[in-house]
Amino acid sequence: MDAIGPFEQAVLVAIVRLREDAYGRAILNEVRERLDRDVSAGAVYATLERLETKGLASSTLAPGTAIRGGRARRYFSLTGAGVRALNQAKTATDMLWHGLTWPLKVRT
Amino acid sequence: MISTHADPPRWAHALLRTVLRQSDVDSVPGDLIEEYRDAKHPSLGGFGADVWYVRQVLSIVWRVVWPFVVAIVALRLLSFPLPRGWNPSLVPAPGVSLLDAFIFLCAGYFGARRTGRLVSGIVIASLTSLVGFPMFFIYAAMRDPSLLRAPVEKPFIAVIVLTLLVIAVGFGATLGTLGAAGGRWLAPTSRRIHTQ
Repeated sequence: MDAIGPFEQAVLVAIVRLREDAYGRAILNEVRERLDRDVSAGAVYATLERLETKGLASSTLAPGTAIRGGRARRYFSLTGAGVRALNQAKTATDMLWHGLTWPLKVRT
Repeated sequence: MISTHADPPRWAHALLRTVLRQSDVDSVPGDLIEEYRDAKHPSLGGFGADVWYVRQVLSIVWRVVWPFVVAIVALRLLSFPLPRGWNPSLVPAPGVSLLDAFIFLCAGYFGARRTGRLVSGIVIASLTSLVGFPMFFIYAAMRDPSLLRAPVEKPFIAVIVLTLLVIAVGFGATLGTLGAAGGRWLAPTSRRIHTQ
């Protein structure tokens, strides 16, 4: 299985955190909040599309609301492969940091 | 307070819809409009919210057009040091060469194949041409900065530049249309995976 990049991880984790509320706008705001920086809609939607193509996420359409002019919402969820990819990414990060104290101190 | 009746710029909304796949043509604009009305318009006001919306649309459009823009920019950069005639043009004007035509055909084909609509290919090819056109003048201005004042000192130069721009974008749109026709009718549309 191909490793997932940091931004793909951020989007997948956002989907996990949001659970049944994981639709486009919510995922975008969750990623912005967690990464504490401005994230463009283009980056998030391109990543969601890529994750679906890779089989790591799936989506369903649901009815829209008045504030969206009745436009449908697309809700995302992780597939089994997506869960495994996220677990692998976490394991790899933990192994990288194993034995090191966080935060690192600058040596003078 | 939610601004339920506030609407983002129509041209930006229309541009967004042209580059989206059929499966996203409702949900993605819906997400942006929801954020626009629920959060951005109340906090930023009308102009600020419009700027935010346009930035988000351009970020989505960029994700679609960037390969062709990069190809055009690379072509421009190559054309300056290489000898004349290596990339023939139909007319003596920038942005209408044989390789430009190939890039616009590919942009049109890709756009139409992605969404299943001709207009997508035409818009993507036209945007590619629009972005690639200024490269000539950026290079010329780098070689001779006084050229930057030329349109101001001699307004007729601005007219010539605009005419050349129209020719270049028209060329891009025409080739994009041909490419889009190929993408629309010669290949199956890319389908969304795992969608219900």
